[in-house]
Amino acid sequence: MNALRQWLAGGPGQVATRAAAAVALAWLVLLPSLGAGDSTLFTMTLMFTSVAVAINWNLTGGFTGYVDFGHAVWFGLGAYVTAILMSLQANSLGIGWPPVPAIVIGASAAGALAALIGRATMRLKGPYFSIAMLGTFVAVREIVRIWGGLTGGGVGLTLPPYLNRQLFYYVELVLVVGLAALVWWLRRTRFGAALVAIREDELGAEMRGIATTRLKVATFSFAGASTGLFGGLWAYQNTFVDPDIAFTEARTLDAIMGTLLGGLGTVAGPVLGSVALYWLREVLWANLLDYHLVAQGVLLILVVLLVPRGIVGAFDRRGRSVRRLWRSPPSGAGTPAGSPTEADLPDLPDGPDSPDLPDATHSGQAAAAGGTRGDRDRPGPGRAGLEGAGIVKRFGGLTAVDGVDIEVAPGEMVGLIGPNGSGKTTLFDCLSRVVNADGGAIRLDGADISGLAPHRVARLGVSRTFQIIRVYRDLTVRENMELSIQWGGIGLRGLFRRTDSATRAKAEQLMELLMLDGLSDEPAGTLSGGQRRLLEIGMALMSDPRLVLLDEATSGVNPSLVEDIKDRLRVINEQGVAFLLVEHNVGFVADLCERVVVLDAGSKLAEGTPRQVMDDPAVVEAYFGAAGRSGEAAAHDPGGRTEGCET
Amino acid sequence: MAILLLACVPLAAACSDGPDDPAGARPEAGSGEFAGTVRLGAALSETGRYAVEGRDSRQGYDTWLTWVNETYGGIRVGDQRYRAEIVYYDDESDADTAGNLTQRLIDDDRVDFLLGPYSSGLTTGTSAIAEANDVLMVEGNGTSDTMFERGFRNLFLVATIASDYTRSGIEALAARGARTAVIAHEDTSFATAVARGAVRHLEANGIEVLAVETYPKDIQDTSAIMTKFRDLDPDLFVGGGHYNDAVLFVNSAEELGFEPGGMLITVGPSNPKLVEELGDDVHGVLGPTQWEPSMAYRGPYFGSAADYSGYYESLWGEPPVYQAASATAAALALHLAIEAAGSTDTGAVRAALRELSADTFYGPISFDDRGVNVSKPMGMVQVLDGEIVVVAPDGAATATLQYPLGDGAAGQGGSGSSGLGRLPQAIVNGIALGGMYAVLVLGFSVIWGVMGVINFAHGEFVMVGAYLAWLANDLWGVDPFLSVPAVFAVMTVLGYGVQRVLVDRVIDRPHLVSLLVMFGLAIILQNAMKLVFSADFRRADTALDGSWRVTDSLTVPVTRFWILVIALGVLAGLSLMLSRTRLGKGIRAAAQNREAARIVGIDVSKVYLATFALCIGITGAAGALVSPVLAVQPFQGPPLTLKAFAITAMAGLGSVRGALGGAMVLGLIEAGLAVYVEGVGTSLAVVASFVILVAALVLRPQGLFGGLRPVDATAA
Repeated sequence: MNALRQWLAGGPGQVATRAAAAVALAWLVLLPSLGAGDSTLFTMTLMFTSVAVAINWNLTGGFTGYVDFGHAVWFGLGAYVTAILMSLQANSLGIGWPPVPAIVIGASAAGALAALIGRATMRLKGPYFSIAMLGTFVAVREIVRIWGGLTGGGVGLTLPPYLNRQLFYYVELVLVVGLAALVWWLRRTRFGAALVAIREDELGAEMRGIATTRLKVATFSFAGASTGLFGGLWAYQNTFVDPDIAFTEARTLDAIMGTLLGGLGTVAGPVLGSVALYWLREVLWANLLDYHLVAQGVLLILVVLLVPRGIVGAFDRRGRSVRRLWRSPPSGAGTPAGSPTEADLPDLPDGPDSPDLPDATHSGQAAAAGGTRGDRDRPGPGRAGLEGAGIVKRFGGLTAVDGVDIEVAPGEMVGLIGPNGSGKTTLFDCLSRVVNADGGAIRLDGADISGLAPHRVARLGVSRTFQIIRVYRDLTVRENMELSIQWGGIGLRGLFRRTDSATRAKAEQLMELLMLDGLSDEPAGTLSGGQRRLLEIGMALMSDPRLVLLDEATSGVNPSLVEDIKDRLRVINEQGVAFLLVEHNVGFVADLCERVVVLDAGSKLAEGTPRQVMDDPAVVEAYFGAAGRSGEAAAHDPGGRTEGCET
Repeated sequence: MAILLLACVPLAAACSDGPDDPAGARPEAGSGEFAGTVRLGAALSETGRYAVEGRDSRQGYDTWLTWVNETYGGIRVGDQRYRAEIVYYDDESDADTAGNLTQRLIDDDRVDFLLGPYSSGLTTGTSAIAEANDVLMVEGNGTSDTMFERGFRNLFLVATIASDYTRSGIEALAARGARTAVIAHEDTSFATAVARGAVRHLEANGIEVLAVETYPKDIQDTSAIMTKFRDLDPDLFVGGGHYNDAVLFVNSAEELGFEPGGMLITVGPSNPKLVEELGDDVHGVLGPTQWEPSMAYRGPYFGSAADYSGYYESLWGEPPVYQAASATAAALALHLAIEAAGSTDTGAVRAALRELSADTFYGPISFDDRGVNVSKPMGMVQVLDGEIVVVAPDGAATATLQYPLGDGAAGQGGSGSSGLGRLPQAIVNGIALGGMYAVLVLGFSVIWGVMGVINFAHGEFVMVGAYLAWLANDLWGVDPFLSVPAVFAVMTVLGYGVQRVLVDRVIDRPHLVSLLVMFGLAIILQNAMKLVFSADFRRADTALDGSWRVTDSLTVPVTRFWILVIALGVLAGLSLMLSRTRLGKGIRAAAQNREAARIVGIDVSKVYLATFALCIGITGAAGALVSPVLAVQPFQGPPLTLKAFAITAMAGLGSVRGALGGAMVLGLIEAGLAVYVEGVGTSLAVVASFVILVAALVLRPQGLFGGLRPVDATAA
């Protein structure tokens, strides 16, 4: 009911849109009573089918970013399972399976198979996933053809004709409107936001505690089941299936074209686009005859090149439609984020030295998590924090990390320094489980976490930032923050709720603390390097971490801001959050940390207070080489900035 | 329903006789001599894959329409005469559309009766709608048996049903001493029904069926099936399903030296196009026909078959094919039933159809309980010296059946049909196939490796190159092997243009953009070529054909051998070019690291332009090279693109050696499956590459071998 109230509220533009939607819906409900004949209803039912398939395609292709080139396989599977059940019995007993259970089982079978296949193929990214699904589509169609005993082979299966157009019309109308409403609602829940996070940056989402594999496979499976449902209904209406009409590439192509035309990754896009496409077809079909297929190819190219954001995008300037059609392939020699050109941060007002942060990080988490999470799995004072013992990581012949022991006690601030290529980031990746260590153990409060998925580690209260900044570039700063909650405590119900007020309040406070409050509605991609760095720190803090792994927090940041960051980190640390900092800026580390670990060539070179390690001749040697002892002065200058030249 | 509304006052003003009269009351608006109108309706394919047959069917219906209104004087219902009219819609050869239009004919146009669409597939769906609405449908061009096993009351077929297609032919061949047979059929409704019927008729006539093979629709290569059959050495080959399959069977039989005493091909031999396309190779091939103008049938309406043919030709300027005659006969059967019933009431006309027994130009017509015309036998034609002549049944025959052909009827039983005996041939077929795949995949692999663009229109460039070679062959008789350099040049220019106009715009854009844009280009090329050349399979003739017989069970197809030789030459040439020339080094540099290549002064966009143009040139030349072997047709591209993807993802992006290795592996797997798996081997071979593709990506996302750029399918 809340959803309904929200739907009814809104600005004048929204009211107009919603009024139009309501009128359209009323017209659709009344259409049969307005004298529409069976053939009109039949046409409309076919249109509902393409709208539904496009909505389902958009769930994975638009929201989650997995462009499925074989989506029609679920349609065909739903149709075939339904047809097999309905004709199986008709042959032997003279009565067919009733259509409703047959269609429901058909949809479930499509969903189950989608889950199974999705688990395998969704490990692939970008075009590889697309083509793997196209291959799956063709392979399944041919297997259906070969498996003649069950499927009737190329001859197909015939169903008892039952053609109540009006009933089909209403059934499909209810289903398609329900599906659209469900997706509209889903997009507003944390689940929907998490899908978009996966599209924007899957690894980042995983690192921030989102169970990416489970969510994307669940979505894929739901889309498969839903498309399978419409496939079953179609088979029943068509009274006949064979491999070529049940599995047609055109159905996938229509879903893609409809969604692109309407607006990829939007709720209304696939609906508007499919209807527009249907109408466009009639026009092309009537006037171009055989040329209409050629025209369709031209249309596809024009839409992709000229209106990549579709109908919705054209009307909605700062809307949710995907700004870029797809993430660009990383170029061979990409410029890492945080290069000096991005480092300038325009004069931001100096924030208060120690802004009060009563609820922001620590005591606020209980409220933020709705009290469900509580302090149960938090470490009590004095308990062991994160501990890595004998960690080894090899890349081919190179041993990047060679048996390093490291620990961070609760509330401690530890620095991890070392020259370029000494293995700092690799060690980080091992600790946060982005990569699998080849040896050693990782323990959190004494419990072994070396086998956990990254999102599990995040849910235990370990969050991190990245050397190459990872933010969701197409989402606003606020959305970025609100997506980085502690996903561990929300449970299934929380997953299907909208962002709550406590989360919003916490995001506001953190944005204020990090001087991002003026930018909260800007897309993160438009921020400068330094601002993005702050945003990333803010995102790491949103999940009420007990330990934050900060990778190069000052790299690419305007020097005037470095002091501010230092102050903010200190404030947060005072509230009990532990930090492990990888830094080039030795001075920054020396100021903040009571303990510093020095890595060189994958091994621990030294450990101790900043003073101790900087006096260690081995460290000086490693940093400046035999010829570089004159640089010692810089290392001794606590406020000095020994910028690494690593970029 | 279907109540004929009585005529209202005839209007003085002359109106057109279009189908746009408002539904409901139907006053006769023409001459005034008709008491009303009987309205028929049909969804027919004006566009799509059945466009040609759809047009023939429509001309057949219109022949009856013109005749009944102008010559015959209208349908006699009781004492009155009714004008006939037919409402047509274009079903785009699409089942959903045909169903929808049939519903529209019933609801909006309120037709009294329906005439059938073209093809079994479309008739199956539309007849279910007719049945549910209790409207009669009489048809002549959907003959699949399954349709008549549904117990429908409203569907009637004037043509011979699919399972009886081969009956008269098999009877004639059995009488001439045929004792063994093999069958290969397309795995579709119609072809399966024909083949099942053939098995029945063969066994009933004491002919042993040695093997039955199925193959998927749109098959490109039947040599594996022919390899198996050659080893069985049967008297008869029975096969087919589609016009295009006939081209493939005749070709690969010739290529592999398979010479049965008789080849009975379901669809194709009655079509003059086949003789035109294949020339001497098609000599002696047998095929069924529903009807030929030379048949000795006659009836009170239209006169004899020849008279009908003359009338048809006077209307349309071309002789009728059997699809047209079947359509005319369907309309005529309905017409006769209406007159016999003296009413247009569905129940009365249905009863009259069941009772109908008429002699017509098309043959005798009478329906059994299923609604199938069982009194008309199928005819059989044989291609003799470039002429299509009717050789069975005796009543309709105009020439003597020639059987056996040549000396191939010895029938000493299978020679090397053991598993091991087939191995050399399977390996030869696999290597030949691999050689073709290698040259076909090369351009795709290099474009992906160098530019990072997945050329989804790759197969279409192959197709365009193949058409160019075919065209040169067809117009000027140029051997396709000789036209390869010219095709290379033309396609290089085309590649240059496509790169400038299209690819350049998407190269730095996300993958989805380039995928979709190239996909759009593929759709355009396929359908444009189809509009120009139709969807018929073509084949370029080469002087380097035939086969070398190494042993009894091993032949080396000459054409494929030379394709392999040239393919290896192209691969070696490209490999040298990449490693030795400046351009080659630039290409490799740009593939490794575009930014770095720019910094050291390589004009990367020029390198891309050269790469794309060169690769499209190679791809088109590959198409020309395989044009004598793989069927040339507008939709040959997509399977090739997917195979290219499978081989490239397995073998490394842009790796020449990998392309060769991957292609050989795929070729050998496909040939092995097709030769060794009984029955569905050819279908399994089609699936193989897709299963390999998905499995290779999922199990080893980082690729099997290195290439110009690393494969990493799990990194975005």
